[in-house]
Amino acid sequence: MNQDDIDLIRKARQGDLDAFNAIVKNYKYYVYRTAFGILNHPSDAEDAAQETFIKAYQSLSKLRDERSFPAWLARIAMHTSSDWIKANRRHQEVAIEQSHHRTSHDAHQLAQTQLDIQDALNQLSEEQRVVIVLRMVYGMDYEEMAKNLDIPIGTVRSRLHHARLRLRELLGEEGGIHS
Amino acid sequence: MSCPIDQEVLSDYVDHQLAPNEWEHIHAHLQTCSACREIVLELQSVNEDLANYFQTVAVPFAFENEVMQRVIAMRQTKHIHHLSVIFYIVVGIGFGGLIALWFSPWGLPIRVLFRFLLPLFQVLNMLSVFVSHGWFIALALYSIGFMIASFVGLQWLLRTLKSEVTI
Ligand SMILES: [Zn+2]
Repeated sequence: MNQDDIDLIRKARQGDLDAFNAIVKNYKYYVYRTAFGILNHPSDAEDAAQETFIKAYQSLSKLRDERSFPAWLARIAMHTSSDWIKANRRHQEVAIEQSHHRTSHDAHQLAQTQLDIQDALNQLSEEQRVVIVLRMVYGMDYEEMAKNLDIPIGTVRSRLHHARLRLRELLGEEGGIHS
Repeated sequence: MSCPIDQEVLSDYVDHQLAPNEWEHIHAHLQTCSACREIVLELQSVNEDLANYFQTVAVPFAFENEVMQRVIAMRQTKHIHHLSVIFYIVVGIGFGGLIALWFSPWGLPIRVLFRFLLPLFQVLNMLSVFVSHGWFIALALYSIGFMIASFVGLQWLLRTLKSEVTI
């Protein structure tokens, strides 16, 4: 995290909307990809990502250390996405069916691989998706993940390991990138 | 599997989460154990797929504009709320002050002063019968006037601010 971002957060905390706009611009990829990784659905991910920034704006004054902003934002994004799943469980199931439907019609190889991964991620548990997202989108190490999820490092390790083994299995099975 | 290496350590290896000496140990082991090497290659391949996947997830168009619109609307609503709260506090203090003046011992000096001023009014006013209760009537009129002015003022304020929000 660079000094510019720290300055932006300070300004945003004092009510500077332009600064907050710049923060949204700088962090939208992380937040959206987090939501997308967990929810696996574009419009749900967009709603959850927007909600994340609104919550961040509302509680920015509670953030003590600006340097912890990325992890703090990741936590909000994660919780917002998880709450979204709980609130829209039925909707989520429909989304999975739809994505399967698209898979069979899309011929393009790269797009196919992306859809394979999306389908594979859908078959992981929510807990597994969360660790995958924190590792792959935020590049967090095990210790940071453990701290953010409030679980032991050993749990992080085995969740991540099993999530990847499961993905390997699913992607191999669907003949994705390994074919 | 006959290999004594814990599979989760291979994940640690792929994620660079091992101490240098442990890393060396696993690295050396991989040169000799094809089973572990294969798992490591597959874990790396999954990581690569995931990294590519998340890289291509595109944020919807005009995302930050939508967020900012919501933030601005929220801020204005909050602003209105704050103004209303301040307004009600002022009204409360004003009203409470009047009540205090009316009933409490602290208002006594003012009531006494008022009574001292009454003769002045009595001189000016020919209606001597009503004048002994004049302070009471004055206060009542003042209270009603204050409440009406407050109410009209608040309505006006809310209307102006709400029209700003809808813009
Ligand atoms: Zn081995």
